[in-house]
Amino acid sequence: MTEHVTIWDRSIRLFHWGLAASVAGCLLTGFLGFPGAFDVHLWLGTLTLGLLAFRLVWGLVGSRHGRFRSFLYGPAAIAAHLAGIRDGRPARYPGHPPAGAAMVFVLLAAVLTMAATGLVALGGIEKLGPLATRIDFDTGRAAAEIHAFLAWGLLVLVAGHVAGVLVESRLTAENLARTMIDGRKRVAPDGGPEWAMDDDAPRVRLPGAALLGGFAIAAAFATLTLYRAPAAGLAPDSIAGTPYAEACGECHFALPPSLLPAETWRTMMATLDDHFGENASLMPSTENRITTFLVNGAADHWDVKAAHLFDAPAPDAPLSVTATRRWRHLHHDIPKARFKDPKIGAETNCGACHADASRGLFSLRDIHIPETDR
Amino acid sequence: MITSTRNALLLSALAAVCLGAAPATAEPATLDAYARQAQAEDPSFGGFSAQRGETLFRARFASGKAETPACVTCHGDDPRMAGRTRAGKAIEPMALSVSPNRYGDIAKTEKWFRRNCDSVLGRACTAREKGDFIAFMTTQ
Ligand code: HEC
Ligand code: HEC
Ligand code: HEC
Repeated sequence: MTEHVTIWDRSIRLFHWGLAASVAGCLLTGFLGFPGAFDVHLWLGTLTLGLLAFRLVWGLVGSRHGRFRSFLYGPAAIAAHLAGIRDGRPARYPGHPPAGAAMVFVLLAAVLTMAATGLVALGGIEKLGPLATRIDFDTGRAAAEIHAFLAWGLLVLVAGHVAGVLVESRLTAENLARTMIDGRKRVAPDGGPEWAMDDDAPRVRLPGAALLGGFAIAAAFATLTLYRAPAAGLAPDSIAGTPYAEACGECHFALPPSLLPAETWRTMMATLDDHFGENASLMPSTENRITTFLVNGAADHWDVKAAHLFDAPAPDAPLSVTATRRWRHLHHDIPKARFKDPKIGAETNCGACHADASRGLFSLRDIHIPETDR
Repeated sequence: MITSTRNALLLSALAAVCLGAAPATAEPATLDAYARQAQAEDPSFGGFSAQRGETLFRARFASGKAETPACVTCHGDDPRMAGRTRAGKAIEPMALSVSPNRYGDIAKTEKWFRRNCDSVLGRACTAREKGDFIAFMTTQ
């Protein structure tokens, strides 16, 4: 009759599956940009951060085998464990075995880096979240690149972790995934006192389920409030209702001034009598007022995403936003015919799909391509 | 059977009301201003012609910008229907009967004649051409 003992406390188990689900969800919503994915991504990312914070505390004051100190193995121990796997007879450990333990640390570090770079990118690029006022666009973009690159790394790590669990489970004839569900492991024949969840060290007890629920609610709250819209001053005011929107919104959606540099606006305003193949001239007094408005609100004065994207003009259409390589690239998977939909009309009608276009934001949270019923 | 007869009666009554009514709107004051201007530009000016206005509205010109050969390029063939700018935005119909607010604000009307005549004809329109155009639109 083999003896089983509880090794993983309930909080650790909830944490493990909570993290697995939230990381899987983050990867899914990050890689597949379906409508609304970004909202879910932010919520799950915040939840992940909460779970990590809990794990860091639990690694210090939790139960025996969850404490970081209990599974800190040196290279020699890891090599010995791997050699055991190679020979088909790995030693059995009550907690994480050395190779698995190393993977736990790497995974935790990777997920933490993902969450951190995500927050930096969100602050710098979208001007949302707790770092919005502290991070500039370029830093945000660098963080986003690390975030995107590391996402692939995390995918590889997760695959390695799962493969490791499968191999180890097979070789030790113990379903390790199940032990993370019921917390119980089969005691080794020569099992000593370390085959137990508790030891002499004091341990904090927390209602794990309540904690997890609390994190989920807090993350949802952060997503709804903290990430809703940039604070005033971080992004331009809406141009809706301004004399500019009236004067330049007659033939097309009036583009927010922050999309183009001041120099481009000056040139455009000086050539209104031949404006994209049309005469769009204004009375001189109106023209001066509009020029001032455009120059003062130009991309040069703002750090929002859209003020950084379209600064490389297309050689054959230097005054155009939609002709830039960036714009074409961002919209390349929208079929040309889609823009002809009566509810959209043209590529220049940014506001049809970007609800926040008049503020020059173009947040990933505010994109909805309208659908005409036929 | 009975209901369809009644509907037919109702319809013809409605049609009679519509057809019998006075023209949808009085000729706008803008037209008077253009008439005075046309008289000054050309002493032999003998009044506006809706027919010449229609010709201007429908003609294609090679003298303007390549992208805009005619007024109908944007305003569409039927003045009572909405047009569409080259950038895809809808333009309210030009016919006064459908868009009674048109040609009432001379500054606005002038702004668009200035732009559109230059785009299409490659020159400014004369006061007579402007009046003809509006005269045509008041008949639509
Ligand atoms: C008479 C009509 C008309 C008016 C008035 C007008 N535009 Fe345009 N504008 C156009 C057309 C036509 C295009 C080309 C759009 C296209 O190709 O879909 C254009 C394109 C643009 C573009 C480039 C859009 C792109 O594709 O990236 C900008 C920027 C622009 N206009 C700014 C202005 C500003 C500023 C004003 C006010 C001073 C103004 N427009 C007034 C007709 C007009
Ligand atoms: C037919 C709808 C539609 C129109 C019109 C449209 N966009 Fe977009 N735009 C999208 C979609 C969808 C995306 C997301 C593309 C993706 O991520 O795959 C997008 C992405 C963007 C982004 C990048 C957002 C990000 O953070 O990745 C910017 C900036 C942007 N658009 C600007 C504009 C501007 C400026 C205009 C007008 C000149 C415009 N868009 C017109 C649908 C539209
Ligand atoms: C490139 C597109 C385009 C072309 C070509 C064009 N128009 Fe227009 N036109 C417009 C737009 C846009 C308006 C503004 C409509 C509005 O305010 O509802 C307008 C308005 C007008 C108005 C002002 C109406 C009012 O409410 O006072 C007049 C007059 C006019 N056009 C005449 C012409 C004439 C004459 C031609 C041909 C010589 C012409 N248009 C060609 C786009 C065009």
